[in-house]
Amino acid sequence: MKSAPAAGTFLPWIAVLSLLVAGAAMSARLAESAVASGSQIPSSIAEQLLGNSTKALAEYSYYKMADQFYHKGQDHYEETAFVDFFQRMKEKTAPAGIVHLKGNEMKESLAWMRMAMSLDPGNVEYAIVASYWLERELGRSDLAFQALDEAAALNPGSYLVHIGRGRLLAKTNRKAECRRAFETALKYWPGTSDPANEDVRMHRREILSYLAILAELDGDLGRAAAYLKATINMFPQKSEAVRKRLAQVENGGTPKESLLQTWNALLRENSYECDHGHEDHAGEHEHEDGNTHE
Amino acid sequence: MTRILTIASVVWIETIRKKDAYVLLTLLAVLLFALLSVDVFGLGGVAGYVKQIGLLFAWAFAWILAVTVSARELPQEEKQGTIYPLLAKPLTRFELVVGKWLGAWTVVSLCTCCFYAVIVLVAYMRESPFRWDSLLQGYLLHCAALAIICAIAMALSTRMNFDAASTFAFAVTGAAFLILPRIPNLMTLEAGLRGKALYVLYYALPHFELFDLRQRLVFDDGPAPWTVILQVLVYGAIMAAAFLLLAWIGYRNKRFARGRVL
Repeated sequence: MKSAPAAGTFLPWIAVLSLLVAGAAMSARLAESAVASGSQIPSSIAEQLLGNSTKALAEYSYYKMADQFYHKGQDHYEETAFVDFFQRMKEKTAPAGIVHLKGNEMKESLAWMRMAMSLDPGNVEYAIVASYWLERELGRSDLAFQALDEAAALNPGSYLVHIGRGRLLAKTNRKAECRRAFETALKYWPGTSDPANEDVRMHRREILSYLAILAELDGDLGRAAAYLKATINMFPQKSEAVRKRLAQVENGGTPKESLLQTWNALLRENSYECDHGHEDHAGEHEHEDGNTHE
Repeated sequence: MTRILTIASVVWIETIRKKDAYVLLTLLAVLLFALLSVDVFGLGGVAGYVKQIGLLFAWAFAWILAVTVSARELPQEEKQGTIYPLLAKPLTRFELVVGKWLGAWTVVSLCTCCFYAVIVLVAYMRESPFRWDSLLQGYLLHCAALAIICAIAMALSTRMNFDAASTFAFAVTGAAFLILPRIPNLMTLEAGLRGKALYVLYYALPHFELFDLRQRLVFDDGPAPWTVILQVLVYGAIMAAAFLLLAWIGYRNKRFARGRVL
């Protein structure tokens, strides 16, 4: 004779699975907007439940998934001690070749960026990367600005968001607003970041570079020189090109053609193209126009 | 063969009576429909993340179901005392083990088919349907992986109670899925005894990553060559047979003490 179904055996499993599903479902919801400056970022339900693990989940799960989607499922090359039958079989069933997502396809990667932003709204890097791809691949600068506005609302003291805005405004040729964005970024720098950190110092250098060239384009050579001098003071050893530009500015300004070249070079920097080296892509891959694997 | 199928049909009836599969199916459906509400910057027609997460959970739920259904069959018979009338019939232990495994595997494969159906429906709603040939390949390989998982759980349950067998089975199959593919990378850092232990593990446990076609399905890469799929299926059959053999060896001389609480 059989006893009643051991439903109790499954209750713990059902509880664990329900929590897992609830956590995953809630982490996909948008975070609430900040309502007052100076206040802490109101946390989403996911953040309240999961605490700092949301940041780890955002970075190591969703952000990494965005990268994997960008590479259409191909893993990056990793050194192995041996290659055997199992690895060769796996290669035959894995997605073939490396192509990066292009154009409208980029939406698939952006979904993960959106989830990373929702889970860790304090990390503005996700919004900046998302805005870059929204503008570059989808041609949706409106949505790109929207993403940055959302990040700015949640992180009012962050200079990085204003750098992101400035880059986007530069690409969309809105120079006056671009100047204001970088001036705001300069005002907020370094925020809560360590001013001795090399990356943080490079951000300031970028701000000063943009402001110097915008001032020169506006014809304000005095201000341009001041920004260039500030750059040289920050990086006295690595400013040979900046010294040359300063000399030109003090002698009446950089020639227009050279100035536009410098401006275009600045726009091409700070791309989020694949930064994995040629050898890091497993299997064959295509080189796309403008994709300069270094 | 008839006896094996009869045993299998009993497993079917039991599993359908229990609520596990329905709970998991409901959870999957709820999760996927919740994911549909994610606003991807106001852009429409984004389905990759739904497919990715859906397939991940389909694999996870099928894994849970396979271990729990397989690991409880034999211990349950012993606990309820129904093993005695069962073995009193003209039924060999081999037929019993294979029948239980067949029932568990086929019912879990059917549940997995339902999971896939939900994911296909959601992908269709997002106007990003799967390729049918790739989906068929993915499902076949998934079933082959489940056959091995059921066989492992069955083998463990011949000598352990349900709790121990399921825990051990989860650990072994989880390690096989997560750690085994990383061993060639880990071996670049390890040497000596640890390196040898990793090597033994690498070849002793089944390679579930061969059966995982999720990336191909999500990124719409088209079907893999059928010759390769066939080779993987043969590998799966061999591994399942090996673990079933272990199960039979573990069970054929097992003595049951009547009245003993298990």
